[in-house]
Formats: sequence, structure tokens, C-alpha cells
Amino acid sequence: MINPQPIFSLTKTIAGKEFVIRFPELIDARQVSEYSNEFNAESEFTLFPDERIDQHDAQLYLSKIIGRINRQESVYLFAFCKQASGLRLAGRININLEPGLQEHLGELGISVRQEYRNLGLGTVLIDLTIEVAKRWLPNLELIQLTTFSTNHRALHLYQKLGFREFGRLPKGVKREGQYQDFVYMWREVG
Amino acid sequence: MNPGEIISTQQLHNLEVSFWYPMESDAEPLCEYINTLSKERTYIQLQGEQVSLEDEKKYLDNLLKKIKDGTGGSIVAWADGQIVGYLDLRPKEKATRHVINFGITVRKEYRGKGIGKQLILLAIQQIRLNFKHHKIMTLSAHADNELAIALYRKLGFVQYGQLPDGVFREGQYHDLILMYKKL
Repeated sequence: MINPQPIFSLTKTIAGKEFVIRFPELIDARQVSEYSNEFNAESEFTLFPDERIDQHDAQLYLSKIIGRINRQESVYLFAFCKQASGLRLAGRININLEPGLQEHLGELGISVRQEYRNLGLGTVLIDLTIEVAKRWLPNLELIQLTTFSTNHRALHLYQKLGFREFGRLPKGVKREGQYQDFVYMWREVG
Repeated sequence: MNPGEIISTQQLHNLEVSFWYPMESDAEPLCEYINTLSKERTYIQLQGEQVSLEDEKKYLDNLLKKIKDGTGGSIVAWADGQIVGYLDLRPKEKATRHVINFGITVRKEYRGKGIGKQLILLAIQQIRLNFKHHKIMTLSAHADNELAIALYRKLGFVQYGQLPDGVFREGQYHDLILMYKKL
């Protein structure tokens, strides 16, 4: 059987660092496990603060998302930073199509590893993912996302990229005992 | 919460309606119910597609596990020997674990009798008893489903969002309305 997954990989220099951006592969399991565990322990804005996954969990996750990509239900891109020791997972992004009556609507999720923040990687990843999604998810018309109301850096980035707020659930998300509003944003694919 | 446990029995417009947590023997009635709603192409995800009994049993197996371990639940409304309404509880997890999302449906011939309202009132009661850390109920509705939105308002739900063209049903776009209620 022909694997319908598009071969996609590009190298981009951002703030003097070289990044390889491509679709996920099963061999990324170790990196995904390390990245997720570090992110969920460190980030102020993770939705899964207590979640820790081992390499086996990461492999299951990867086979699931590769399946979604192959069925043209999702786009996932991983950004790796080129280092002397090899490639290091620096950021992850995805757009997942909703089922049924919302097949024209995709949900975007993005994270950037602590040491690669404030370089502009998020902007590059969102722009690139939307371009890839236009071709890989032909039904996609609208993109929605959610974020914490106190995540000012993310809110600013999303606004800059054309996302507008369409909802705000008061005290909709809790982090370290504190409730915050959960903000819903959307934009047209364009 | 136990599968099959009866939560309430009520007279609604001369109709005796029983409300219970789903049980194994509900598989066939549930399958018939969802497939009837699907054919109607109402405000639900299924638009004509038919669910097999095998898939319905898988759904129910998973749901019964959640009911037993307290991580999920649903309420069946039963009258005249068939399912006449259904409420699906979807508790969120992790950073949003105080939020519980739900959806309701009522069989076409049984609308306007207050079954939907009773389902929501019973759900509120059950969440207070069995999902104590869930403080916010959320739902979404198609903007043209005015009867449902009016009912939610009457029961204290407040709009917190509106996604333009968020649903596409029978060739038309409709906004998706997001509502919540604090418990």
C-alpha cells in the first residue's frame, strides 16, 4: 500500500538558529516523551499539568496522529532545532478537523519548548501549518483555538495572525489552584 | 451511580417517564433511538448515517465502565416502552476538570412535554451529588435551534461565545452558540 502521507520537510533559520520542520514519525517517540514531560511540568499554560508519558505512550500517540494525518483528518508538524548533538524537538503544532457537522472547522494546538520561546518560532509554525492544511485538509475553512486569559504572549501572537475572540468562559480553566478565563478564538483559513 | 439505577419517575403531560442511568439492555433501544434521530437530520452530528448494534454496544460498554468508576454518565428518559430522550455527560479532565459538558436530545414525537427540561434538572442534581468537583456546566447549540436556546436560558444558562458559521447542516452554515451555567 502506498503511504499517502505527503513528504514534507523544510529547513528554516529563525533568530540565527536552524530548524527542521516536518511531519511526525514513529522514531520521534523518545523526543515526544521527553518534550511532553518537560512541558507539562514547566509550562504555566499546559492543559495536562500532571500528565507524564513514557516512550511507549508516546509511540501509541504517534501512531494515532500519523493515522489521522494519513486519513486527512489532521496536520501535525514538529520543529527540531539543529544542534551539535543532533536534532532537538523544539515545537509542536497541529490542526485537527472536527467530526460531523463541523468538518469545515479545525482546532489548532501549539506548544514551544521553553528555551525556544520568543524567537518567532510560533509565528512561523502557525503560518506554515495553515499553508500545509490548505492543501492537506481541503474542507478546512475555519480554525479555532483556546488559550488561558493570562497567556498574554499567546493572545498577542494569535491576534497578530488574524485570530479574533469569539468566546470567553469565566473561570473555565484552573492552574495551580487559580481559576482563569478560558478564551476561544477563530479565523478563516484565508 | 450504577448502570440501570432509576433516578426519577415523573408524570409529564399525562405521560409516565422514567429516568435512569443506561444499562446493558439499553443497547438495542439506544441504537434504534440514535438511528431515528439521525434520519431526522436534527441538530446532532449524525445526519442520516446509521449506527450498527455492534458499535452501539461498544459505545455502551465504554459508557458503563465510566458510570461505574464515576468518570462519566448519561441519563436515559424512557416512556411507552422506548427511549424518548437522552442526556450525555462529558466531564472534562486535567486543567479543565471542573467543567462538565453535556448534550441532550428528545424523540421528535415527545418534544414539548418538558422531557428535555427534566433531563437537565436531573443532570444538575446528579452532578452536584456525583461530580462534586465539577462547578461549571457547558453546552453548545446551533443558533437556529431557538427552542433549545430558550430552554437553556430559562434554566439559567448564559451565552459565553458565538462562533460564526461554526456548523454546516443541510447545505447551510449556522453560528454555534456556547452556553454555561455555574453550579
